[in-house]
Amino acid sequence: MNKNVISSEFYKLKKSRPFWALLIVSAFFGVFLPLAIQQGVASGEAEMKDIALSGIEILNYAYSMPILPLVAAVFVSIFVSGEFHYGTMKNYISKGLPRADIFIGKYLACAAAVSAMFVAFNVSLLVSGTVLFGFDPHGVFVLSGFVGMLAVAWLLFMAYTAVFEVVAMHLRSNGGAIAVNICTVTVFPTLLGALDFLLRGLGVKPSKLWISAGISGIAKLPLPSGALLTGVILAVVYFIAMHFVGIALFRKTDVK
Amino acid sequence: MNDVVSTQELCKAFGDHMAVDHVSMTIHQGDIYGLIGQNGAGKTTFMRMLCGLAAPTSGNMQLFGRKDLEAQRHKMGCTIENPALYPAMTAAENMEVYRRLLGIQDTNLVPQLLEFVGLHNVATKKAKDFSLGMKQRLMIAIALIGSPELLVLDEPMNGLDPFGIKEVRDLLLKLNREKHLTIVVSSHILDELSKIATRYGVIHNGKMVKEFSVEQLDADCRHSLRLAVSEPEKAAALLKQSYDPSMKQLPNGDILLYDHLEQGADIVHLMTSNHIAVNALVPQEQNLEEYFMSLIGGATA
Repeated sequence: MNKNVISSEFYKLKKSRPFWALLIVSAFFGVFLPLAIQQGVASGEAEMKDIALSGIEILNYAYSMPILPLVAAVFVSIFVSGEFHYGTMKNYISKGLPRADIFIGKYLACAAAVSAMFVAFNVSLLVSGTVLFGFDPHGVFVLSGFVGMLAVAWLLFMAYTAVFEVVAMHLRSNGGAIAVNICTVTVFPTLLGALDFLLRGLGVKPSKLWISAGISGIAKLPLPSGALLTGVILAVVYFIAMHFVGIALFRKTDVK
Repeated sequence: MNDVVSTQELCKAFGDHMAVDHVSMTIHQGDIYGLIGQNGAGKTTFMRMLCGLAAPTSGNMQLFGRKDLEAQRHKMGCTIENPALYPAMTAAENMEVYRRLLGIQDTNLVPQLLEFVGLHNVATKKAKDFSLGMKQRLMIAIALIGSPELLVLDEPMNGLDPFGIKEVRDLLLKLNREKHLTIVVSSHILDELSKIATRYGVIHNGKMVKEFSVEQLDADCRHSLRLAVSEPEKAAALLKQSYDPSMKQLPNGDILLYDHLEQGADIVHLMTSNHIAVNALVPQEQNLEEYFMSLIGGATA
């Protein structure tokens, strides 16, 4: 792996305004969500009654919503397809750098950015949730389960990042990449859910094979048995598959 | 003389359309090679293949006499089509991206190159606020990171005002003379190209029509007398017998005389006294544009 590519990508990340803006957005959602839930409960909303409220459980609740995947999708789309939009990818390739190195360097920068957003979101969520509801009033916290949940959730976000990068590299336009990546997070799981009904007779559930299912699966404390392993397998499979597909497509395609 | 670029039967097809059609050419070390062609002739596609942005459909290419193209491209600097910059970054930050990319430790390189291209006073200005001329110069500065031996510039004068054109032209001459860079440059502004290029390649409909040096261009475009007569073959024989001039017979029968230009009256007398009607006797000189048009069949010589 070419460390110069990584150095260059991280320099661009440091200078990227979308990165800093979306990092703040991630932290904002981490604070806003517990506040919104508290307001809902305080106003006596019927659907809010069943939500277990604690700093630790609000984390689970937040994972069931595609907030962070959407923020990550927007960032990766802008950061990757911007290189094609502005034509700067031509400069990279014409310097004689292997395209695999460029793809991986770009992925590492995106992964670092999404990791930073993941940390900002979780920390602000945990802190504000704890301030509002207490850390673990229902006694569901187990350190190993909590760490495992965070670690697997992070791995699944890294897999999402790889999917977003492949889409952005392939579409090469900011608008197109953002639109398709948002659909990847929102519409695609719904489509797979519809396929579940169609394939019910065969006993196959395609929706369980998507990354979002992995994230939903671990968004429960105490963790259901097998959820961590399923999450790890999903993350690794998508991570490897997306890198193979992404690099192969990028190598084959002419760059305008 | 070392060949910096050489291609053999290079092709690039988009579906049924041959954008570059069996192009064989060579660019020597120290050349300022002007690539000339109409819009859609295949210049940019050819340059994109040179820079690794597009894969050839068939044919061979060597850079610096080697076939390991990816490695050899470390010695190249390219700007293809529009200036490709990060608009929200300053000039210095744009260059810093590529300094890091090429692993160059010398942090003074960025200010040095900005000074070389005359942008040191606007190093902290964002690229989106640059004029097109400034963007072109910044792109050239970026292309110069890593001390390339070959610079590939696609239409670097496109959209520039006369002052901007002169700036880029002077910069290219300076790079060729002071840094001994080989430069491949395409431009529609043939008059400007003729002020810097030492060799030319004319591409038409994807094919390399002709390669020639500035000396050959001067020879082909020098002052001449164009003689249109009723019996071209007989007239040519008479001229050879009487003056033995340097001359060329054109496909339409007209004769171009490259010397004895001051003896027009005597030549007319020679023709008429041998019962050859002189329809026209025109002194002429071609410039690069007319020569280019004659090569691609857009106008007669």
